[in-house]
Amino acid sequence: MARLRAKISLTLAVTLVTLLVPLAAQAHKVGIYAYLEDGQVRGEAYFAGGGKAINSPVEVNDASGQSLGTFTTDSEGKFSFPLPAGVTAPLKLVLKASQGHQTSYEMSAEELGVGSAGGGQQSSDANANATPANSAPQPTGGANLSPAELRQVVDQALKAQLAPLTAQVAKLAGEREVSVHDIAAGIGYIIGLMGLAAWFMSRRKRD
Amino acid sequence: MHISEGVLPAATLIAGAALAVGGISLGLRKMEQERLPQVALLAAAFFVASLVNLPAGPARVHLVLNGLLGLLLGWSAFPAIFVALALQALLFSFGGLTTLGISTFNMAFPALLAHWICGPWARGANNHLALAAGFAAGFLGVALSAILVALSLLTAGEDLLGAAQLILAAHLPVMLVEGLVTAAAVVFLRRVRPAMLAWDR
Repeated sequence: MARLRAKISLTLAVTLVTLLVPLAAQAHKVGIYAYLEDGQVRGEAYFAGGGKAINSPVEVNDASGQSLGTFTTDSEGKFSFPLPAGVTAPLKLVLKASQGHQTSYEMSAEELGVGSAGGGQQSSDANANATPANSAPQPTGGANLSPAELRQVVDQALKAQLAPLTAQVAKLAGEREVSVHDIAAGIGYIIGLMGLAAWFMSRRKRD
Repeated sequence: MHISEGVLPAATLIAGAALAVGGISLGLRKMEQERLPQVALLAAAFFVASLVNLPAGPARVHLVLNGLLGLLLGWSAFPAIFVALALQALLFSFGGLTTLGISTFNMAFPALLAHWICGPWARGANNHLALAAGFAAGFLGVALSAILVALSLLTAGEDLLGAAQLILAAHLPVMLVEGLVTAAAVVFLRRVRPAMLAWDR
């Protein structure tokens, strides 16, 4: 009994040490994210912890299962392709890094701007009453902008401002770092399972 | 080493799961109550070892420790590695839940081989041979796992030689580090707690 107790306390001590050692270590996982910029889908493939997934194929399919082709990441893990007209959202990007690593990223209708394009059409319909027959966009002369033109200018400016932010949010959505909580939870589970097994074994012995 | 969800065909996953279930049940049957803390401790070590990263070319590789587990646990390496892999999949998103069976086999079978091949020398009277056996166990564990992973990927249509070369080359630093870690563990245990090594099953 004393020997068993010594073994268990040794186990707990070493467990605590192993718990503290890897705090600075990084995860081992591939990730991918993408965002829309000027009609181009741009993205990046990476290994969690900093490395880039270079020369890796990215397969792109739209919601109807139609392939948009396979694109390869460059030496910085980046890829881009023009967004063809008439795709059905969501777009699915599957990264096939080497050695059995695979992950995917979905671009929703909002991210692809399909939704906002529809919204833009709606608003121009609504403005059709106010400014009829305003088909050709006139050269903007000072403050003399129609509401539709103003909306367009603001829209473009906003998109340019938000592009880096969009990229960051997309990256965050695809990434999840290992936290100390995860490590502690895992070791807690192992100790719990050990207790469970010990309980079953002691019952078996007594019976 | 972790194979992601959706890479392997169903037949490979089912075969892997069947082999893993066999190994786990045998490992549980051969596990003695006195050894329970040791099995749990090594499962915890395997669980956190995957967080120790080394850069290797375009990818990153991590410690595996399956040679050490095999040497010290024998058949019980199967349940220990299964639990650790399941927790890695759930908490770290390493690998996937459907690939749990094939991954358990890929890691635990080389562990068992390391136990059978290197175990007698690691327990033997000769200190130098024991050191060499420890190094060989750590080195072989990773190398054989890399080959098994390459074989698994072969069933997914990746060309074997290319995948095997890539995985073996990427894991060469891990093999060396694991060899040293396992050799150090063997030398340490022979001095401090030889009972932990005297485990022939």
